Amino acid sequence: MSSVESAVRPPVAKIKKRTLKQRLHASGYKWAPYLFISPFFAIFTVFGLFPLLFSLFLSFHYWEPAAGLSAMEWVGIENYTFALTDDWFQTSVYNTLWLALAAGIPQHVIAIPLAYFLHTSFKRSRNTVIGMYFMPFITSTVAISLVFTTLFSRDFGMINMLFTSAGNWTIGDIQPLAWLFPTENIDWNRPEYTKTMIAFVVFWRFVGWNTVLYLSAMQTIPKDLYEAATVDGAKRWQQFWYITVPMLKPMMFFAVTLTIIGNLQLFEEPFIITGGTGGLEQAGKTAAMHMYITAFVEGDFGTASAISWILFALIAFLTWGNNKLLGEKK
Amino acid sequence: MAAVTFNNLKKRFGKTEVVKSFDLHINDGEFVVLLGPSGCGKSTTLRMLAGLEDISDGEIFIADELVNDLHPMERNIAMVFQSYALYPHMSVEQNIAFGLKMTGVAKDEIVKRVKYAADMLELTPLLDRKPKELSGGQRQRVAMGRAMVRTPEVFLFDEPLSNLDAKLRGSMRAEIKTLHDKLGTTTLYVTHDQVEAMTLADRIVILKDGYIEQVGTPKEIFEEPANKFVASFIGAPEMNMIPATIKKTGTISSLVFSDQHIDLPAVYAEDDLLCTLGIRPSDLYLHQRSIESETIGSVKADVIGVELLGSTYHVQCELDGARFIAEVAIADDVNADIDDKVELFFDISRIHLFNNETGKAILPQMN
Repeated sequence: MSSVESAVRPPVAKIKKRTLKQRLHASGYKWAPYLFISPFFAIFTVFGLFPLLFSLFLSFHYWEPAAGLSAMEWVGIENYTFALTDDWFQTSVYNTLWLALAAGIPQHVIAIPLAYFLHTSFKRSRNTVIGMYFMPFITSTVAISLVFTTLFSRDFGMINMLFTSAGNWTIGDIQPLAWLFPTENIDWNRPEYTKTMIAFVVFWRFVGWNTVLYLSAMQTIPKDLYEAATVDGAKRWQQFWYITVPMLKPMMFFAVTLTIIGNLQLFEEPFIITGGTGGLEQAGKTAAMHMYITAFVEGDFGTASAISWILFALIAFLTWGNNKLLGEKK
Repeated sequence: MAAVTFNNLKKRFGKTEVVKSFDLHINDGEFVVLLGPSGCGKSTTLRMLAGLEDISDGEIFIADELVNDLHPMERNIAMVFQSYALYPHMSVEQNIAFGLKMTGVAKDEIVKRVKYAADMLELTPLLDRKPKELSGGQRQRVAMGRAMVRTPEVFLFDEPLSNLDAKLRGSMRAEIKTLHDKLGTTTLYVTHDQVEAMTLADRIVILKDGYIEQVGTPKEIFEEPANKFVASFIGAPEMNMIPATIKKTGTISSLVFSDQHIDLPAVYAEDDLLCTLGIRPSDLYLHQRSIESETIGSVKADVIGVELLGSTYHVQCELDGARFIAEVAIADDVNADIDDKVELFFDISRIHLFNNETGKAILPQMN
């Protein structure tokens, strides 16, 4: 370029490059909220959404994990039809529903009056008593199951000892309680007793939890209502029936929903009590146990996934029913 | 209907005594208001009468029957709570009928009484609604209906209007008054609102720190306060309190300020006694011509502020270090301004004198 050309050419304006800090500032930090909530979405996607969608995908495939992802074979609804027609699955669903009712209903029927009793009769020592009731919920399921396995032991268990003591109690030549209590040790591992034993352990573990839930709901009921009812002439049981119970309905819905979900996914207690086998004649095998055994013992992840979605549908249906029964009426 | 008597009633919570020797007789059909600041023991007294609070000492009689140990239901009382205490899951009809249902009243009788109460309180169109679908005033009426249907001997109201806005409070006040006039039931009403007390009560009981300060008709309480507390508690704006000294020269008593004095028409036994002059702001005038009385007194005071409140002016004054207000009508030719010295006129028969030590009213000697 000649010196003449450069002399007539207009000067080029220098564009100053902005620093990263300046550019971020200029953007008004609009992206900042997304950045801060992104860890949740990242974790949810990896550990929540992906397994959910993958299990749905898997439920329509036959897959042996050891052979890698490429070994997946599309089977349509075969896994579902297989699971639904499988005797063992049907037994496990029956066991699960039996346990859900036998362990679940008493939890609430006993927890509500128990919470009312704690609410009205304990003042200073209330928290200690609540702590005691809550203890089983925070204790290891393994420890609880082992303790109860010992308690229910045929030859040395305390339950048999108490029962047979009562059954063999005599007045003269008569055993007045023999019609109610056994006179010989019961083998609790027999199929007809397995579910009862598991139901009792589950009930014992969760009744305190439900008591705490109902107690917390009772504490939100205004004291004025009870005073008004007292002046209106309502006796204590009438106050419980006409005020406490209806006012607990939102909590009942919540607690029963938790029980439905928890009991239909029941795994740890029956697994440990039956030594992971489901017990004699599969009497203690729940749907969750069956799903686990299908996946991790038999290696059939497709059917296990289908079972999980059938269980999901069952839980959703029962929760809908619970909502109809106890949910808020519009 | 029944008379209610409290004999030396006391209530202690631990070591704290909140009601101290409460004595009162409420006549059959009378409307009595317990009035006092927070923590004076008025609600506790009401709750002891209702049976919701144990009695530490003393006796309560309803219709000559000792009710100390009776269950609330057996006392034949009905109570309206500050929060209304309506059962949220029940309809208006069920709320009103609840007490009758609990006491085993026959179904057709329940229907009849609910209808009567609903008609009287204009609740008939609302009978199927739940409390959350009602306004504050409607809820209040339901609470009153619930109390009414039980045809109690005594109605108890625990600050029933305190949750309502000012306008609604006025109309509900009138409804309560009308209801009492119609039913004629003995009523004990607790409030900290003096307007409610003045407008509703046959007699007012002023309480402070668990003691009764004065019992009287609204007019007596307003015009003849027994002590400094009652004088300043009743009236808005509250009674002006100005320090003074009573001096007696021969048979003439006068009220002496730092640089002025007023000769009193009545004679007081006290001489050279530090006291407090109490006078209501509405009893002070800027012109002598505004008062129709033979005993007119006046004091000169510094004006420290003038506020226009629509129909009246509040002229804020200071005398001997005490600040007070003269409430003068806008038509009263208000020509005072800040830093002016004004002469304030009043009818001497309207003043109150209080002993500084005891707080009690100082009364003139009887001739």
